[in-house]
Formats: sequence, C-alpha cells, structure tokens
Amino acid sequence: MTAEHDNDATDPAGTAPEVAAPHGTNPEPVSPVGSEQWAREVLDSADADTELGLAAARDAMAVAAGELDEAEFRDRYEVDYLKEFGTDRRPRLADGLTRRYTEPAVTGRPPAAPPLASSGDCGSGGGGGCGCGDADDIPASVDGDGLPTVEAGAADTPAAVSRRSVMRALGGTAVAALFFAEAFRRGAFAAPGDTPGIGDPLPLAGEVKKGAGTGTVAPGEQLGVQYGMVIDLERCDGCMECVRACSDDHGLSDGVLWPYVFAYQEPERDDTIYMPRMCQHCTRAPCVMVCPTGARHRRLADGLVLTDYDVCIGCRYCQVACPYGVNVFQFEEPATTGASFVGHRRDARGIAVEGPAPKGVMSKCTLCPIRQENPETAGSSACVDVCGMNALHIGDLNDPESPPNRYLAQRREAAGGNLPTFRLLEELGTEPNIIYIGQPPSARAEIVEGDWGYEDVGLTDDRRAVLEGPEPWFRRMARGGAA
Amino acid sequence: MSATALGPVLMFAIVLSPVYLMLAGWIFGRPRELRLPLIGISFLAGFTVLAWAGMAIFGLLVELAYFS
Amino acid sequence: MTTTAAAPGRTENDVHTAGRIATILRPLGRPSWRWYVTLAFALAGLAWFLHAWSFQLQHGLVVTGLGDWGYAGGIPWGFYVGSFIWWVGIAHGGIIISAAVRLFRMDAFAPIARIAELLTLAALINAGLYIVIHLGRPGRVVTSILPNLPHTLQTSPLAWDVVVITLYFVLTATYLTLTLRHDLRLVADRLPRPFKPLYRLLLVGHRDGEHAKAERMAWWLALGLIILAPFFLHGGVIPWLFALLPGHPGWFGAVQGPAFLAAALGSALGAATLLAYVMRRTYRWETLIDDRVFRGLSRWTGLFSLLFLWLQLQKVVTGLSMPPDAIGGVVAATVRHPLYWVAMAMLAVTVAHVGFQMLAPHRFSVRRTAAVAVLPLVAILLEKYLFVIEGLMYPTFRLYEGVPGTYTPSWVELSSLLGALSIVVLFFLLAAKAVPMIELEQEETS
Repeated sequence: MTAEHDNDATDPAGTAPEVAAPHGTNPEPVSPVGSEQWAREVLDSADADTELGLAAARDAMAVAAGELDEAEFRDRYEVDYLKEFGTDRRPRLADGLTRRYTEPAVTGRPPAAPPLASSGDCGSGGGGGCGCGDADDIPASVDGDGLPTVEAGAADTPAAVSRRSVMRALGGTAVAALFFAEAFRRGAFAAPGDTPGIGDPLPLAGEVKKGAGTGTVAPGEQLGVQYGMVIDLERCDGCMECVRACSDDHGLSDGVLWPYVFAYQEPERDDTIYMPRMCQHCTRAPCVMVCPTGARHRRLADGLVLTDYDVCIGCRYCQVACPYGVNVFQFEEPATTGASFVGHRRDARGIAVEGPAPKGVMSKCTLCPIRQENPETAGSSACVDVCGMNALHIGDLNDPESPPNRYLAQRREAAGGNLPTFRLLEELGTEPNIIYIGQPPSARAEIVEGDWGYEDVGLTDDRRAVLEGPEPWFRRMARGGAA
Repeated sequence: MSATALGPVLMFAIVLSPVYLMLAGWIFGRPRELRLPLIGISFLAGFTVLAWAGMAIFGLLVELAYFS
Repeated sequence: MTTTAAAPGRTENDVHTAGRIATILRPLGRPSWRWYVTLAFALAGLAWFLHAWSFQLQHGLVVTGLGDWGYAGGIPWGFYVGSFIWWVGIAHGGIIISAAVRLFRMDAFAPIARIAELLTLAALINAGLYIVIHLGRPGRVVTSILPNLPHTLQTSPLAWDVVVITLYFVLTATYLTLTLRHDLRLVADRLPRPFKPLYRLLLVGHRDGEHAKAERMAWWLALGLIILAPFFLHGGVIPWLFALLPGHPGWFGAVQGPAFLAAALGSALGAATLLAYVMRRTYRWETLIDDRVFRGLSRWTGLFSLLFLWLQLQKVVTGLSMPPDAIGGVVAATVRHPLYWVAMAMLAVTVAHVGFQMLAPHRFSVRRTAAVAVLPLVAILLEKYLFVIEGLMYPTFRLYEGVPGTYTPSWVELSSLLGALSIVVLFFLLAAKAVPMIELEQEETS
C-alpha cells in the first residue's frame, strides 16, 4: 500500500466512524449493503470518481433486479472506467468465463490476499478489506453457494503491496463489484441448481479413464479447446504473488517453484522487466514426446500438459527435453512450506495430476486443471486470481471471446493496433500456448535483482540449499571423530 | 507443422530390419530346417521374459520396501 | 599345457585338439584361492554399492549431486547417464569381434570371441542397472513402460532405447547359447556339477547334428547384430536420446551418431583388450590367446580412437570459429574443462602407441598394449560424462541466473562405478567356472 492511502485503503469506513451502520433502511438504497450517504463516504475517501462509482452501483442494483440488461451494464461506463482506472475489470458473468473464484487456501495462516472473486482488482493483497469496507459491514457469503468468502482483516505480507493504479481501482471498481457480487448472491441470475449463462462444463466426462498412461493426443494435434495464457509484461511488476499463490494452492515444497519470475534488464536500458514463466503447455510439447511412459500427456479436453503422478518413473527426460526449464523433480519426500495439500489430486478422468509430486516423480505448473473442470471455477487459476496488475490471463486461446483473447484485443485496440507480442522460444518449434505482451528477452538480457525476491513471499529459489540431503554414516563418524 | 510420428516407421521398418533379415536367414537358409530356428526364437522370447520378469519382481520389491 | 602322446588310432591333430580343449577347460575345475580372494573383493564392492543404492532409494535422489536445471542451478542428468552410455559402448566389443570372426573371417580374433560376447552381456546388465538406478521410481520401470510402449514408441527416443537394448541383450544371449550348445555337448562329462541346471536349460532340444545349422544361424545372428548394434543402437537410438532435443545445442545435431559410435568402438576394444589380457594371464593361455590377438586389437583400437579424435576436431573447430551463441557457449565450456583435455590426451597416446608399434614391431609388448588399452576406456567415460553435463549446463534458454548449473557427483553416484565393476568381475568369476571361455573347436585357419 502506498503510504498516503494506507489508512483509507484498509478501512475507509473506519476513517469516518460517525457514519451510520451501512445496513440501512434508507429510502434510496444504492445497494443492498448500505445507504447512499455511506457509499459516498466510502467513495470520497478513495481516490476515485465518486459519481462514477455511485452510478455504477445503482446500475448494478438494476441488473440484479432484472431491470437492466447485463450486457448493457457492461457497455455503459466502459470508456469512463478505462479513463479512470486504465482498465475495466468488471466481471462478465453473461458469457460465463471470467468468474474468478479462489478457493480459500487451507493453510495455517489466513490468505494474505483476500480475494474478491468477482473482480481481480483486490487480488493483489490490498490487505484488510481492500478498501471495500470493514469486514463486519459486508455480509459474508454462505459456504457452498459458490461465492467467495471475503476474509477481510486478514494478515498481510508486506510484499503484497498494490500499486497506485490498483489503489484507485479499489476505490471505485471494487465497491461496484462488491455490490454486483452481493446482487448475484441474492440470486439475481439463477435459481438454485440452474446455472444458465455460466458456461458449458468442459467435455471431460467423455474421456475414458485410463489406468496406466493417458496419451491419446498426438504431438502438434490442434484441439478444439486449447487453454493457455496471455501475460502482459508491460503490467507485471514482479510482486511474486503469483508464485506464492501457486505454492500455497498446491502445497509445494520449499524451493519448488512452478511459475518463475525473471527480473532482467536489456543493455543500455534502466528499466527492469519482469517476466513470469509458467509452463507453456505447448501444443507440440517436447516433454510429452519424449516421456517413455506416457505419464506426461496433453489433456484432450483442454490441451493442458499434465503429469500422471501414478505412472511417472522419474527419469527426468521431460526436464531434459523442455527448453524452458519448467520441470521440477521431487528429489526427496515432499516437505511443504507450511501448507498441506488437501485439495483434489485427481481430475475428472481419475488421473492424479494435481498437487505436489510424490517422491521420485516430476511436477510442473499445471494451470490448475481441476478448476477448469468446474464451471464455477473454470477460467481461473491460482496465479491469475491474485495478480494485482491484471497481467495474467488464462482461458481458451481458440475462443476469440475468451478472457485472454479479449484482453489481447483490448490492449491491441488501446495501442492503436500495434501491440508487440511474442511466444517464448517459438523458433524451437514447441508451439507454446503462452502469449506475452511486450518484447522478448534479447540475447544480451541480464538478470538483475528485482524489487521483490522469493524470500519476500516466504519462498526460495535456491533449491540446492534446500536439497541438503541426509548425512551418510561415515560422514557422521568422520565428523564425530574430528570434533 | 504437425509432428511426425517417426517412431513406428523408424522402429519397425528400419531399426528392426536386421532382425527380420536374421529371421529370414534362419528359416530359409541352408541347411533348411525349421526346428532349430524355432528353438532359437524360443530362446529370444525366453530371455526377453527373463529380463523383464526379473525387473518386474525387483520393481515390486523396491516399491514395497521404499515407496509405500 | 597338458600333452598327450598319440595313442593308436589318434592323429596328431586329435592330440593337439584334445590338448587345446583340456587347456580351455582348465578354469572349470575347483576354484583357486585367488578366485576366492577376487570373489571376496567383488562381493565387498557390490555390497558397498547396494548400501549406497539403498540409501538413495530410502531418501530419494537428493543424495546425488543432481538438481533441476533452470532456476535451481543444477542439472538433472549426470554420472549415471554418462556411465550408462559408457557401458552400452563397451557392450559393442562383443559383436564387433564376433562379427569380425564370423562375417569377415578375421580368425586372429577367434580366441577372444566368446570372452567378448560375455563382456557384452555383463556390460548390458550394467547399462540396464544404470537406467534403473537413475530413475526416481525404479519400482515402476516395468508397469509404467511396458503397457504404454505402443503409444510411447511413436515419439519417445527413450522408449526406442528400451526396445533396442532389450533386443541387443536378448540377441547376444541367444548367440551365446547357440554357440555354446555344441561345446557343452562335446565336453558334457567334464563340466562342473553345480551348473547342471544351467546346462540343461541351454541344451534344450539339442540334437546331435544340429551344429551345422547352429553355425549358420549364428552367422545370421552376427549379421543382424553387426547392423543393429553399431548403426541403430550406439550410433542410433543412444545418440538420438540427446541429438533430437532442440533445447540443448551442445547435443543437437547429426554428428552425434558417428561420434558416439566411434567412441563406443574405441572403448569397447580397449575393454576387450584388457579382459583378454586378464584371462590370458590368469589361466596361462599365452598359446591360445596369442600375440596376434593383441596386435589386431591394438590396431583397431587405435583406428577408432583416431576416428573419434577427428570427430572431436570437427566439434571444436565448428564450435569455436564463428558459432551461434548457444553452440559457442557449450563448446567453449567444454574446451575449458581440464578433464576434456585429459581424455583427448589419453586417446592421443593410444593412437601414438599404435603408430609406435607399427613402426617398431619388434618392440611390441602384450603387457604394454593391455596397459595402454585402459586409456581409451577411461577417456571415453570422461568424454561421455562431460558431454552429458556440459550439454545440460548450456541450454538454449540461458536467461536464468541458475544457468549454467553446477554439478559434482556425490559418493552415492561414484559408488555405482565400484558396483558396476564388481558386477563385471563377479560375472566373469562365475562364467569362467561355468562355461568354456574359448570356443573348443576352431575352424581351419587359412
């Protein structure tokens, strides 16, 4: 948090203690949550356009009441939002693909980035209530109905700091989005059990469960759905939240990093470029081609490259063949960084592809395949959910209307048609499915110390230090003898 | 460009061709008989089974002892 | 060497043959104290290795010096994989010598043909062992690989490798069986009793008079093997494990096939020379494994070593002149490494020694030839080891701070070398007691 907004951000309502309790019965409710006066107080204290926020909030109510078309709501204020915040991250529920839902991480400590699921804005750990009001003021969601739990007041790590632009976004967009979420919770769009417009479930049921080996997709085969990412290098600021969220979500051991963030500089330039490197989920993945057991495979439903933990023999050929260096080998019994993995290991096909790898087996970024199976969480991933800079986008690259493609189109339009994009090491013929916005690192690029290190998010990239290994008896004896 | 599945052609048409040659020589070469070639093929199969069965048993023991 | 005076009805030739057979069968008697001492050392070496391997199985591969490449600053393949390539290379000695005798009629090598074939078996056992010990989950090697072969054979060089090595092993074992049957039958009454079950198995379906067909079948087997092993295994599938990967410019390329093969043949013949010398000395077989064998082996070892040096010259010149960054980096790192020059010097000495012996044939010495034979053996192990690790340290994608990685083999990995050598010794200790190490009847030499 930037200093000047610190108090405001964490507790805008708290800065005006004399404001009436927001559960009001005001004649003119701006939202189910509170009165217009209260809303004004909140919006005024944030560094954002109050009138815009109020107008958006009122319209959100109208959408919830069925008086306003959701698409129309989206189109309104789009330019205003872009002008005000540089981004329009109001959720698009109608096309069912950007419902960003983050399961609360089951950890010993509360999540440092309390997410507001219906927008990614607060995701960067704005701390406290992300400027969305005091925790007590906001009705908590009911578990099991698919809405997120807003854990306001949660402890925050110093590194999870939002940028100024996010701060401004917090003030306005977050409030409107909160109202929106609340409206949704109250059943604005669906009857229980009926989820029209949320999006079709992925066609995974049709895939036969395989006992040993899963290869049915040929290398280079173009699939109907191809999940991938768009990563905006012009937005990424190296906060490392994506790495931390992934590590927490998947219960990864110390030193095991599935996404990796490069901090580098080009010669004769001062600015540091941050490049998150996830697994590229290549269409023509060398790791899939070389695997001698078929454990490393591409999922038919969505083209994700996954590892079958029950079949992998740990030969590390995938690691050798991958030109990107995304693979990690479980050299010893997995120890966790304090989080025990309690999520589902097996995807809809019954194959163990999620979570930390068992001893002697390979693992890498999975792009959260089990989330993609559930219509409520499809289109999200641990890293994308927490990115406070809106730099990460995940979705079906074959669908022009998917979030990453829409983002790309948006950016292209904003850049007047000339948007530099690249795919990493494309010349090696792997057909990677991560599109980067920005310039590729040149041959002369050099690693520099970033503003945040892995230690700042409780992780380490010095895996060799972690992998000390046990001492053999003769070394112990020699040491004991020498002592 | 889609990947060429080189494997089957490489394996069965090229790399294994000396084996086909050998088998042809066994069966059609002089003195012409089928008996010893069949014994030879049995040995080939037997050694293969011996090697892999041995590894399977070893594998089972290792999994039980160290990975369960 | 025992001599028997010609009895009535027996010709000089018969006596000579009988004496020769008796000499060959000498090792099959009671083990000497030297045999037991060697056995003790070999068992101790094996025990130590098994202890190290158990330690690795228990704790995981963290006990090796290996690491993840990329951010983690390590490399995932190291001493085990380098050793694997080395042992597969040594295995080629068997088929080269057998093919030379059977197909090209180089009878000078006939006395060591069976020893070389046995070396192939032992070397392939070690190669298989190295694959298994380098795996994170060795217990799954059969259940994960076999059922999925129809799929993995489409694209995976490692799957190809598994098939071809199995084939090489099985073909060699069958070749040995076919050629042993006649000998076992010939001296059935003089074979040691403890191995009777083994003989029964090997002699399954034996009929007197099958020998002519068996010899022809062995000829076709040798033909199949001389095409399969050098050109499709060590000059094929093995280098393809590395040469097909675009992410490692130190490995990628068509020269790996020829380079691997030249290396293999040099080290294989070095191993065969050493082994032949040990057998000759141990069993006092100076007349059976005569000087001609060593002269021939020496020349061919020299030739293959020269060939390998020439291919290294190609690599160094293309890698240092005006290469693209990626290739330049790995070749520069290789030539900076002192072990590389140790290996090249060893090979140069081997070649020089051959030249010396050709220029001064009267100065030929079997013992010195055997001593020099160690050089290509060690040199190729070093070179293969460096090939694996340098290739991994200098990938195409070098942005990581952790690239180039570092690697030092740990005590566990080095123990595997002791273990593998112990296995070869044990194998030959047993084989020498079980079967005749030299073919009992030689065809008429020209």
